[in-house]
Amino acid sequence: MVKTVIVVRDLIKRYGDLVAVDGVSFEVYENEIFGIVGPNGAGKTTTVECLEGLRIPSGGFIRVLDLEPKADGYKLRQLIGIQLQEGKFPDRIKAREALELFAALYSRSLPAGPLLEKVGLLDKADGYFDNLSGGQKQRLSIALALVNDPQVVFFDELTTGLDPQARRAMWGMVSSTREAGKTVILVTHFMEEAERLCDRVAIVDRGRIVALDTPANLIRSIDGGLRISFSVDDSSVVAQLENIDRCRLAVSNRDIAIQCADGRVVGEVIRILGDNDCNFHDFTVSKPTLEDVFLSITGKEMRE
Amino acid sequence: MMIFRQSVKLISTELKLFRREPEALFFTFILPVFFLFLTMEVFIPGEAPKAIVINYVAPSLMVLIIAGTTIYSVPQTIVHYRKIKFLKRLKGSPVTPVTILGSLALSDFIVTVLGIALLAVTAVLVYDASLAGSLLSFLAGFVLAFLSLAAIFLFIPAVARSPRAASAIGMFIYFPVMFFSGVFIPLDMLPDWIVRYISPYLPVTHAVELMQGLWQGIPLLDLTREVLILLGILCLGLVIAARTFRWE
Repeated sequence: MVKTVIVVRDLIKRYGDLVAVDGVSFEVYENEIFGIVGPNGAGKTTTVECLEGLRIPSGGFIRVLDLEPKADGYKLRQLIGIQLQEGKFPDRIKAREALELFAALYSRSLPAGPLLEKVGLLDKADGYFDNLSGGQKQRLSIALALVNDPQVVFFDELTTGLDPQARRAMWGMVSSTREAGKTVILVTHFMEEAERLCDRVAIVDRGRIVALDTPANLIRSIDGGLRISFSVDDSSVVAQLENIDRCRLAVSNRDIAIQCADGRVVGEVIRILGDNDCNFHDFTVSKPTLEDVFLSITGKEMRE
Repeated sequence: MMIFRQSVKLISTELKLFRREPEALFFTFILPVFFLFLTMEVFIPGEAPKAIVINYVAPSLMVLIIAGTTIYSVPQTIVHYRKIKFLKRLKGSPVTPVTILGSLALSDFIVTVLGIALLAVTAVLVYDASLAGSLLSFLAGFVLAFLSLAAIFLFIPAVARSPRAASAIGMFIYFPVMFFSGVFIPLDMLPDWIVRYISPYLPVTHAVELMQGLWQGIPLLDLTREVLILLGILCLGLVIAARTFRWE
């Protein structure tokens, strides 16, 4: 039996006339990485800040580790780790000092040294926050989120603004946080990140959850299991390609994209190209991504 | 015990950060002592009895330090920490809002005490200043002056969205206050209309009156009016702050 660590029912958060979170319900199971994804302004951060007790919901029911974030806030904050979106620290605080400061705020905490080592900052322990790179700052904020050895950790836009290499390093740390037995809530607007890391993903748009499942199931749920794309020198083959069953063809100039449910179509396309002695370039077969899921559900492109 | 441990760590960290800010060090320690020399050596006419004048100048420069801390340092720290979401991150840990803000205020208080001690020692050693009243009531007056000014100027972080705005508001308040409150220029040397219609409505004026009075040995009982006004300012400031303070 999987243990449920977070229960959210009909969560609503209004700011005046603006409804930031509009009836969100979900559960998070122990030791999973639960993703909350969606475009900027979808209500992701507001939702998790209600769970963290940093915002008071306008309505709905929340339990985190069987605690109500508002009434049992003090107790709850001992048990959760928080990394805030765009959260920073004073310029002149040293990495080790920041960890020691937060360690003193919790009744139970881990020593600074091993934590810094874990996030690869041991050589920067005595460096000022100001002098750390973007990736190092985020690594420190991970260490700070883990300083009380929490059961549930919230990461909010952990990798935004980082270069690909630093982003990949963050991903490793999120995975190892889960391997250490913790439950992770990951808020991101990078679909690729959610797809790679999360066990289950809630896709949020305009304050509502529009889909919730494992990344694989979400991707399987949309039409067009495969996407074939290539360009041709001579577009006379298009007529024959149009005759292939079970697929959608999109042609723009000499670029051709085929959405199909079935891998057999790939062979058929290649056969047609070969039979016509047609010269083609950049032939790629790709699986749809969560990005395509979002597009197919909301009819909108995810914007950065 | 938890609150004690949290406060000690917050305060000691804050003091460490202060030590790394050359600007703050300059305003709290160097500038007031510089003003002391400037006033005594340049502005005071040669024939004036310095041993008497110093007992006006020293306590009003102490208020200058308090004003600098409460108009600049405290609001700056709060607005900056709010902007980088450090306040919010602290709030996300098991520490009460009162502990967070109290610790920030207390660390600024400690710095102010050190600044005033340096100024007092300089005034005593160089110009033979002497505290005519009781040390205890002088310290009590100092604490009251600090608290009420700190409370009333807490409206600055409520209105200012950025550290830059907080600094602009601070500047706008600081300079007129310094000239019309009897800090730089004694009240009896100011035009009558300023003394009558402006000075009494500036909180800093009452801090100067109280600190000068206590330094010169006027008993606390004879300064009841100033004490009550400062207590009123303290309450007003706390009420406004409680209603307008924003964590993010």
